[in-house]
Amino acid sequence: MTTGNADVAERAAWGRARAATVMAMVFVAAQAGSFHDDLPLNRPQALQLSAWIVWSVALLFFLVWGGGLLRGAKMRAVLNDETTLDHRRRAMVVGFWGAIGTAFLVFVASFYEPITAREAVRLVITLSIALALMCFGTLERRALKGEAA
Amino acid sequence: MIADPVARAEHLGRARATLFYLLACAFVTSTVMGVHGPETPVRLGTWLVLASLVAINLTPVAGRFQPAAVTRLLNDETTRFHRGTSLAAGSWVSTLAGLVIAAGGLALDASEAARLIVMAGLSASLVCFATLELRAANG
Amino acid sequence: MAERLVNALKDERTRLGLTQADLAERIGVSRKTINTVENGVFVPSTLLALKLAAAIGKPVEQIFWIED
Repeated sequence: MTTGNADVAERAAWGRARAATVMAMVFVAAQAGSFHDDLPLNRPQALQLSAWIVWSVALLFFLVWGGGLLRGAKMRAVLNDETTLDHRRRAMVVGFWGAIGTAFLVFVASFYEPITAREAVRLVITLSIALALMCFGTLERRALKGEAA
Repeated sequence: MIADPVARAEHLGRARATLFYLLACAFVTSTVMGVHGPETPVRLGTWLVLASLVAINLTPVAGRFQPAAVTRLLNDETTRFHRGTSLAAGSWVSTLAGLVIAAGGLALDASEAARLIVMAGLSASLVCFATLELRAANG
Repeated sequence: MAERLVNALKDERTRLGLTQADLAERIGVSRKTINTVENGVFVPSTLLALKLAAAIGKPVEQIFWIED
């Protein structure tokens, strides 16, 4: 029989894993309709860009520190143990290759399609962060499935 | 038959680290000089080939032209850990570069922005990997 | 020659009547770490392997070994 702390850690880990996957999808979907921007940026587009920057930073913060920030040192240690650190590193590697691959594609596409620098950057960074989150969520969920308490 | 795979792997590992530092310098120089420069097909094609070579060097594929015993040592547990760590570092640097470009309103086109992001990520990974490997070898 | 780490963690754990969560709580890790180590997905660090062996009460080489 598990104690309360183990249940809390289990629920928090599941919540984090699902949140990572959902946030990745929402992040990409939210950008899909707003990639195009005019030069110079009009006011709504400038606000959209600012929001995207804040959102990106928040998601990166979640990816790195999401896990018991407000729950105390012991719970944080459990939620950020060896497997989680390994999953995070693997997720960042996937995000890295996603960024590089997308940047290569954008580089080639820019000679055939009119793309601004901001659109290019948003595409590359959005996909990089989304892939990292999806990877992290998938690895965590896979690891959590199995013999439950 | 390799006389001493361990010694050969040690030598090649150090050489690889030194090469990575030089490659990072060459790649950064090439990319920065290309920004705002004439975008001729030769220049851009050369950059693409160079970037691809750098990327391949950051995968385990690059060390496969040695005998199996040496390849295994060149891609052992520590090296795999270093590779993962350096790619994660590269991810951070490329993301930061992207956010700075987006927020900074720099006078760049899409091709230049993409090249700068690739340069930032790949160079940071190369330098990080080389540093970790040399530090481990010198300990 | 592909070596892999095999373990008797699940057998030993169930022999002691512990759930994954019980064992996880004993050594201060998450249940998923126990799960992934048991099914061979995750290779534990030396530190973790020693903690697991200590929690089980057996030498580490009786819990983990290399199979060719």
